[in-house]
Amino acid sequence: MSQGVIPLSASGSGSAVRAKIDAALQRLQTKGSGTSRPADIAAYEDWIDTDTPGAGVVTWYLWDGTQDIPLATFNTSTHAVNWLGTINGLTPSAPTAVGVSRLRNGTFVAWPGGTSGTIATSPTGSAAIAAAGWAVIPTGASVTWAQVTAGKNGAPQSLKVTGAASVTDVVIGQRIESVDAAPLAGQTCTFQAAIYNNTGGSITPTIATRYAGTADNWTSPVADLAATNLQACANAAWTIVSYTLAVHANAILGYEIKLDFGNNFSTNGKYVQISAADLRATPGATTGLSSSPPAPDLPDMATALAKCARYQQTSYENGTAPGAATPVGMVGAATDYGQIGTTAAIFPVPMCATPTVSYWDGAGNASKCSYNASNSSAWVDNNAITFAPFNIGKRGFTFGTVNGVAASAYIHFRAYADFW
Amino acid sequence: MSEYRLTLGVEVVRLDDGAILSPDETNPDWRRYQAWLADGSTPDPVDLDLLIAAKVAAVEALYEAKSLEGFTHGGKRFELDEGSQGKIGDLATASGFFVLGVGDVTWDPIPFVTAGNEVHVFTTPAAFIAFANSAKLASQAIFARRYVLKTACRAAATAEVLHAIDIEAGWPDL
Repeated sequence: MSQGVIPLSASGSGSAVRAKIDAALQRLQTKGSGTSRPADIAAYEDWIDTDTPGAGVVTWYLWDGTQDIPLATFNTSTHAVNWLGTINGLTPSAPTAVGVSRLRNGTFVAWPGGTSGTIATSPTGSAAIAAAGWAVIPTGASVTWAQVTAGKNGAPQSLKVTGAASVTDVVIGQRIESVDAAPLAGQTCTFQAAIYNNTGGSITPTIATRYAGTADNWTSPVADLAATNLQACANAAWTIVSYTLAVHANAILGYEIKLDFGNNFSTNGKYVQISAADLRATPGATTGLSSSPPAPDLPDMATALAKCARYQQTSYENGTAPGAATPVGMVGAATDYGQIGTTAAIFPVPMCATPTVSYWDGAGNASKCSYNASNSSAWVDNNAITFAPFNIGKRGFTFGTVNGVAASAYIHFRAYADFW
Repeated sequence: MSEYRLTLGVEVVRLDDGAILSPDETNPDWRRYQAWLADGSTPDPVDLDLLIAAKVAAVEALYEAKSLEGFTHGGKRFELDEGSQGKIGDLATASGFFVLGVGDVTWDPIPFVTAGNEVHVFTTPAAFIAFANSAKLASQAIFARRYVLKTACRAAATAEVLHAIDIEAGWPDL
């Protein structure tokens, strides 16, 4: 049935008048439901948006003559109602969340790749990661990212992603390991994040989710929640975006959350920040946009760092980019002059998979090592290594003495096992 | 142009950033390498310098093993590791000084531990000097073999030439 129109003039032939009356009745019958606001809507008339937020959830709006005010969402499958805004002076109570957030680094305190960087289009592996666990996927051109030592909604820090000429899209996402995603599987769950929008205009990011095709294998992921509008984010302001969704039972294979910020980053003056991200089971919550998510779960620093190390860890200080020129934190072993020896680098936190290992010397030269000669206290950099990292496993790896120079061998390393 | 290079072990080097990939189907980098292979691509062979370094290291290990196997003197075996060589040298020098009457050097029978962990006593300076001479000849023999093998390895221009060097052969029978 069509959305209908309400004609203000009923002149015409009898059949024409009958058609106009029918159209007006359709408008009343359907409550103006459609994929966009009726063009002839009057102030204080309400209507129903049938594809917002999407996936079987519709939104009931009141048009106040200037903008649509969301009143409630309805789940067309479960028939659940989620009242939005304030009711009799009371904000609808937040749903009760279960357990801890299944997202890593929701406080944005872990920075194994340094505190700033550039991410190219179609990134893979560690090149996709900005803050620990958070991949940034630009389209059209590279974007830059940076740590901001201020966050929102209780989180101490945030991730800033800045556009550039030719950038046509920015996506920020995270893939959750199967063992951590299992508590979400088959549950009603609520995602939330604080978003600062500095793109020059209001934006409406979307959320989309997928689960892994097989356990922790993201070669062929399967869509769960199709791209769905989150709350509109006004320019130059923080907005809490939140959405409650029914997570597929196959999330036990691993789950992905992606936020798409759209084509709003065409200059290097346009950026968004994300902070206080959380994803937990919220049994009984109404699916759709959530105006009152639970307070975000914000783990302490040590917990966050240890959790992130399962997916990427380095020998550098948190916030120091791999390849930086510093001997602090290097791992290695001394050997007697004239001897060849190997040593092991043990990961403080076992990794989720056998990692990809990169290594540098203390001066930042890739695939080189430093040594401290037995007859000198001076560091010597830029040396080939006899035994590059081998026997690599989830707990560590082995490496060995400087090639051609019998002395100690020290390296910095990055071990990467995230899912991008 | 290849994107990966083989190593001596199961690992693979990703050439654009030098990262080392290990076999694990849950590692996306390894899966991308497997997909690259499945497309019919071929990784570069192991770097010759790495092969040489590994073979030189193997020669060193053999030399260390031969040193610990030691040599036979008077029907008993004695180790030739660095510590033993130093001790033999010191005692031989003292024995020689005693025989020559240099200074106030005194001499007592020398107990020396064999490779079989028995104690053999040298009762005369001449006996110990003869033992030290045997040790010197044995040490020089395995040292020379180590030198020849390492030089040959480092001079190898191809992996095939390097592979043809039999580092197990040619060690002196001590």
